[in-house]
Amino acid sequence: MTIAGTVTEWEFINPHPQIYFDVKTETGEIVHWGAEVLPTPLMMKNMKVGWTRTTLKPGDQIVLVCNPSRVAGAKVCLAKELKINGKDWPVAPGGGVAPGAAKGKQ
Amino acid sequence: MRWAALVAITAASSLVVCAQAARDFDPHDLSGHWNRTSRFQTFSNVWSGQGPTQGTEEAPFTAAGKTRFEKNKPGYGPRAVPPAVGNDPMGTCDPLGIPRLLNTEVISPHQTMEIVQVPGRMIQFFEWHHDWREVFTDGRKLPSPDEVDPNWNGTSIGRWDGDVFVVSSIGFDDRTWLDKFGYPHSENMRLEERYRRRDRDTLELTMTLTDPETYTRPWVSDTKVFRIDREKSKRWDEQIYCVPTEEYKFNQRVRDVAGGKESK
Repeated sequence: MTIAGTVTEWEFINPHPQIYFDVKTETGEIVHWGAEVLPTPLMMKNMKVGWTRTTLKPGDQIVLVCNPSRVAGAKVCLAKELKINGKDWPVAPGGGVAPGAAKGKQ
Repeated sequence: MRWAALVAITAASSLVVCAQAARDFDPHDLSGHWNRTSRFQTFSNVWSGQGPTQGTEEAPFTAAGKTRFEKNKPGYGPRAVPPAVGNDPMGTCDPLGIPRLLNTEVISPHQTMEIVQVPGRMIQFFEWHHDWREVFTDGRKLPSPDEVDPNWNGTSIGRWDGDVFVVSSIGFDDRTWLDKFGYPHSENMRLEERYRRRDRDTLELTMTLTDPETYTRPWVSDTKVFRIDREKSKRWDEQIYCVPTEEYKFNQRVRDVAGGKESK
């Protein structure tokens, strides 16, 4: 599924970094969501994409393609693709280098 | 005559070259960072539910062993349940113990294993949990089982059998699982690990566990293969900890919600 929202919190911690965000529904209701990304060690070094604790900040606009939970109505999902303020950020292996990633950063 | 001498010199030179090639590593030096490259993350090549080539072996359970196995609810493998309703010790940052530290997460980037050999001891450092385990090589004997309290990584001694480093252990805490699929063991498990440095870059490990309470016969692992990671010791440590407060928060906010479990 594809879901867009406004970041409220970014937790760059083990075991999986998490993005929390608000989604405005068609009726104007604000619904709070959470998305996990791949395990933190993968995000930190295997992908070498420059993820840090400041990658996201409250107010950032995101668009996520993610796998929803099998439990109907659960407002959490597993991120597969991510756009932050209009720019693509890799969240899966082989996704390339993120914008702003330091050269040679592990 | 001169021709014979030349042949002899050439042959001798070849022997020297061969000997040098054979000596580009010391088979008794196991030190270094090692990442597992062999496929199975389980103790043995048990069925993983991921296709016909993913292991075929059945665990030789006793009735009691089978009962314990069924009480363990893993998040991986053919019996996987959502982590929210499982009971994998890893989900609460409990120690993984031996042998799970040797097979589950010893794979980059989750965790590498570093081996350090010092007089009288071989020490294995595991990145996940920043845990370590000592194997005494000073010639002492294993204590009898009633002399040790069970602990997470067991009580271990090591010796060389030719080029194979043999680790014998007893005294394991039965709260740990053998692997991420939830295979159990009792406190009376005895474990033998056999390490062999196959070449400069490759380490092999085969384990045999003997636990008559849980398994009807000694159970032999598949051969775990590790490749040396020489770059690991040159870069800053990423500090991959399992942090209980972080894990708890993740369970509460993500895993429990995804599994339909009411947060406490």
